[in-house]
Amino acid sequence: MPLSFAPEGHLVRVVCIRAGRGLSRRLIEMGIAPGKVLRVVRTLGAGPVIIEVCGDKSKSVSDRCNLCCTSCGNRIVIGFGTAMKILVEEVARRE
Amino acid sequence: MSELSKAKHNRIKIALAGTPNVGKSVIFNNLTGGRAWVGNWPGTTVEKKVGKMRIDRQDAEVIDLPGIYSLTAYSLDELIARNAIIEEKPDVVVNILNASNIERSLYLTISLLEMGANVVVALNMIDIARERGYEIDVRKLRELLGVPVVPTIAIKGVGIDELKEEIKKACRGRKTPELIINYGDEVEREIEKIISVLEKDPALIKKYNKRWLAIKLLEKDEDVIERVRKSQVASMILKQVEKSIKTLEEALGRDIEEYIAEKRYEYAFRISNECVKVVREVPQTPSDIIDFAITHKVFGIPIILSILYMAFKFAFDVATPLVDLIDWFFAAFLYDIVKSSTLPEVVKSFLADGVITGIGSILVFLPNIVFLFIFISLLEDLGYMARAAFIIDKIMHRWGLTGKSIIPLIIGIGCNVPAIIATRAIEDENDRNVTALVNPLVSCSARLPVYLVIAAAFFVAYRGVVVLSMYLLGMLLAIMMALLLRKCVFRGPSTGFIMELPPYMTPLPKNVLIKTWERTKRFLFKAGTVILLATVLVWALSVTGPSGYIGTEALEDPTLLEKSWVGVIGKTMQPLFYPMGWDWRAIAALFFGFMAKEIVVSTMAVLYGAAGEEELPKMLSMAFTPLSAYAYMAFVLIYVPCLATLAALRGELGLKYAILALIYEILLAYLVALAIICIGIPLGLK
Repeated sequence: MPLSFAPEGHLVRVVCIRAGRGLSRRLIEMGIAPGKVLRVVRTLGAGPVIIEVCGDKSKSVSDRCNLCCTSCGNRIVIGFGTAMKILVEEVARRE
Repeated sequence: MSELSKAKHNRIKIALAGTPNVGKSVIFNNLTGGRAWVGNWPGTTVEKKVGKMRIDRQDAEVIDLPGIYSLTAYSLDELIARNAIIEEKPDVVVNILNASNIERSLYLTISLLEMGANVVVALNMIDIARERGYEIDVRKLRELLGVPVVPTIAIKGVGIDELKEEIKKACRGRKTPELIINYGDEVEREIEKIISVLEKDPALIKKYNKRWLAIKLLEKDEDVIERVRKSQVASMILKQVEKSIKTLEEALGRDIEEYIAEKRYEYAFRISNECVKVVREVPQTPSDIIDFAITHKVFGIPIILSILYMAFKFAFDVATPLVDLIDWFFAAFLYDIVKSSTLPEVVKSFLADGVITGIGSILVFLPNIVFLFIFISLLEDLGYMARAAFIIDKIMHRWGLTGKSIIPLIIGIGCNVPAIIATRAIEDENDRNVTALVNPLVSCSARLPVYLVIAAAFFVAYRGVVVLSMYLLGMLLAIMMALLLRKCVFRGPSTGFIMELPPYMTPLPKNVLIKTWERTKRFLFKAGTVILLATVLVWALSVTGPSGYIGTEALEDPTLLEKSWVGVIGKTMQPLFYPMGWDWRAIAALFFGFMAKEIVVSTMAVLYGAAGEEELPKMLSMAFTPLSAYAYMAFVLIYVPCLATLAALRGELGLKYAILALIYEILLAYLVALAIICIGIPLGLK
């Protein structure tokens, strides 16, 4: 599903990015690459989202996630147009 | 040693680079004591800012670059920053890292090191990192990067002396070891191949770091490709690059540039993992709680609207006494001094009716504009703008704009010129162009006096509503035009936007004032040049005519005035505006409003023979009907951007689009004014 539709508070993993060259690059530079786990901090329901980048595909989600989500709090606003181009799958609900 | 001798011959150059919103501008101010915009809005520094700093009894040039995430030119800001580093070849690049978000900051550091820049790292905002519960091992970071690292808290001035010390040391010629990221055997092999071809052009590899050049070529960086194209062996290089890309993409099964970016990010991730220790967990910060309300699905929009309303109240009500004071100073005090002096009549009239009336009628808005800019700067420094962009994005998206467009549109309420320049922070080119092109439709403070005068003449009872309707009409038209431009001229989907959400911060009064001043300066400059010239021109065209010099009496005598150039211009254009029923004076005022819309009021004051602007509403109530006056207001709102705005559009988008803006606005203004008349008359309005 597009990141734009991901429910608030959920953890999602980036499956693929269907964007042009410049944009995919920029996303990767900001840490949003296929395999990365994101926490959806805020959504407006099929609109822009605020996310936190939580983890890495090389580590298991549960280890990394607790550490990162609670410690970094570095948030990124992703506009509607961009959020529709990032396809994600759900990993876990927030406890 | 060679670095030292270079420093003796040329001025030392120091560039500040960092991700958006990392505190570069604050560090710039700390280092130079100079001025730069400082904003808690990613991408505030939209132009290259230069200041001075003393190093070993020498002046060094400090360049404050716009915020960038990497050295791949993606947005205009990034291109400006990167070219500055490539072209100016600064002796030292001070790379400012966000300690509370080190992983993302390190991406740029790594890119800079790959480029072979002489980097000094300032690890800024360590206080925020601590607040969030983690500690950074500075020694480890220094070791891993191989460059000096200085922890700082820029807004409190902590660590600045140490930073200066490190910059000095670096200037004396400590060479930064080149950082080599291993991109994996296959990629490294191709990089080697490209380098061996590059080495055939000694001039090229003298100018740029060859490994960096090879990597950028693999990344299909258009700007670098252009640079390489100038080489004599360009075709050989590009052929090799093409071959390498093909080999690699087949071997890796994916886009090579994404692969390289990911490797680089992984490297940054590894460094940050080794240096950052979590000391305690912070479940929810106050920032989170505020964000919950401000970015709320239901409350977000009402919050934006009330903040905007507050901005207006602040800008217009609080500033009123100052406005009255300035008005009195020019319209009464100075005017009377000149008029009662013993100078020759022509000189007196020139000074009083031309220069003083002209400058006065503009400076009257200065308090409103300053107060509005103070409010906007406060919001930016607080960190609210990024939240506003989030909330508004969904609505903007529907109209072919993005959340980021909201900032230039709000700034436009003050003045369109800084607003158009602020569009540079928008990454998507189409989004940027559309936001800039529709910006003149946002009713700037220059248009307010026109509404106020007309409202005072016809709509005393509902003055507020009438004036507000103009602002809403402007916004509505801006949105409609955006959609139209998106559909017809700048087609293609918007890529949307990505920006970091900065933590809330207490604005520093100094920073707010510096930024307000930077923006106000543009307005004052406009008042001092364009508007002054325009009013003098109006005056000159009013006292002369086809028959030659008429005399200053023309300004008081309407029948004489009809024979002046102004009268001729107004009358020639009158048939065009026949349906609207405006008389030639109103039309002549429009003509002069080309230069700046404020002039419409002062010109009307002159043409209708009103002694001071107090009397103008009374004169107008005889010349217009309420309906034609309302159409006139709408026309003033829409028709042509002022000269300064046109110049800004030309500077940002090029002449072609400046002309497009000019034409579409004239047509739109005519249509809207006509529509108001055509709808109004059958409804029985007059």
